[in-house]
Amino acid sequence: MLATTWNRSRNGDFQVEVDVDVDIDGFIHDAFTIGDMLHDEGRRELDIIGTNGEPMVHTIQEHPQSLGNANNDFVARVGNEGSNHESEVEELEEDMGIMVEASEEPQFGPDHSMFDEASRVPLYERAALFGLAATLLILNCCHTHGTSNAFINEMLYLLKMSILPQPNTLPSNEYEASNTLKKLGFSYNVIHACPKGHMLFRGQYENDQNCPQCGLAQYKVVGKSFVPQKVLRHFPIIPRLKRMYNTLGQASLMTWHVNNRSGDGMVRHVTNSKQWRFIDEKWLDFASEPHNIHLGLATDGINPFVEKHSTWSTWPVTFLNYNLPPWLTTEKHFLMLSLIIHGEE
Amino acid sequence: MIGDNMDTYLQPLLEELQLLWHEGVWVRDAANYNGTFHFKLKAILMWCIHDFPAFGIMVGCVTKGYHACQICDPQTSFRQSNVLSKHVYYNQHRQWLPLDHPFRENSVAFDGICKT
Repeated sequence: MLATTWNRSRNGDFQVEVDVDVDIDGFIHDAFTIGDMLHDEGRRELDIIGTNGEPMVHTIQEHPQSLGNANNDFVARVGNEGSNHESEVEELEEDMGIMVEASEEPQFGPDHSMFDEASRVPLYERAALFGLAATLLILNCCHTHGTSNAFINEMLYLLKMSILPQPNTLPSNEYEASNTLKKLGFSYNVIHACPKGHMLFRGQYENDQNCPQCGLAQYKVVGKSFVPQKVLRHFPIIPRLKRMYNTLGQASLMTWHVNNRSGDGMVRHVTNSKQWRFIDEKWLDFASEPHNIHLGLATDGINPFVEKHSTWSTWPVTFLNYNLPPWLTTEKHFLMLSLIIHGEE
Repeated sequence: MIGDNMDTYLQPLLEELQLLWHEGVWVRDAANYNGTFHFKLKAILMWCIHDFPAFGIMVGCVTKGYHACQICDPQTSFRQSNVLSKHVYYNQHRQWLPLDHPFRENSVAFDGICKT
């Protein structure tokens, strides 16, 4: 929600009226929001006019140290001309500095610039469908029905070479298609682990060959190749949560739990539960933002090979999203698989 | 075998959850203000769902043997049953009853033990 009033003129410029006692936090938040929007439009400058009618010049530009993160790294550089705004502007700059330092955290999100570029290439000349959309539709259809990779290869080849007009941007095989999607954030991290589960070969142990605790090797030699002894697959949830809010239909569902609480004391959804109320009362800041997500974690060991391989156990770790309406919380496509842990007993 | 080392495997998950709880991430909401609304998204892990053996692995506590109950812990009442030839846990649940409940005085139905 914008705290100050930002008026947009016909030529696309923003004008804001800033009081001397402006809410600095709110103003910074607004500046980030507007800056992001301007960045999407390929613009860099923002004119801000003070209450006395004198223009204050705000230049919103990308932070030099974190180029490429299109989402949130902006600095409003304030070159000020109104005299009575000076102290406030200094304060603003200080606050901005802190904000930018805080936002230099590792970014989990997909590369949006790549997404924009790839999603605007049409499938073939004058096609209504984009190439990326076509790839997604085909792969989604194939994976829903559990077809083999050989089938996908053959179908993509047929479509590309025989059915669609030439030239077209459809990938020619499954490998190429899934590589395109990987760059857009539909991927997972493969993490090697100690065979006895003492540690993961990541962070400070990334270049180690043996487990420091038990000395077992990270890889085993099979023929001429090195095969990791134990593999953990991690599917990051943050890009998926971001994507849910970026999707129009799903973004409104994510605040369902606030607008649809029962007022008659009956429990129809977990929002009416004792635990939920306890959390709301304990962390008021968290509860005041309806977008914040309440997650549940479900896990158990399963054996994917049924009786044939009874010494195997796989642990999928799944997140449930309780912001959604109750009939969607446990739906297959709203469950978020986060980890797959393989283990031989 | 997962065994006692579940926490090792949960590390990458935990980092994400801690980022989501302490710092938050900037997210664009497509449903408000024509998709120009940005906010700091935070998330909380409310509860975990699993069966009793998996609970022992997730939390890292004993769920078998003499002290299987997580609430009574060292005070768990157990007995070797000769008929079933295994441990049985019982009797202790009468402590949750009201003080004047007739079951507390009923020693006949509960192995000759009163729980007052």
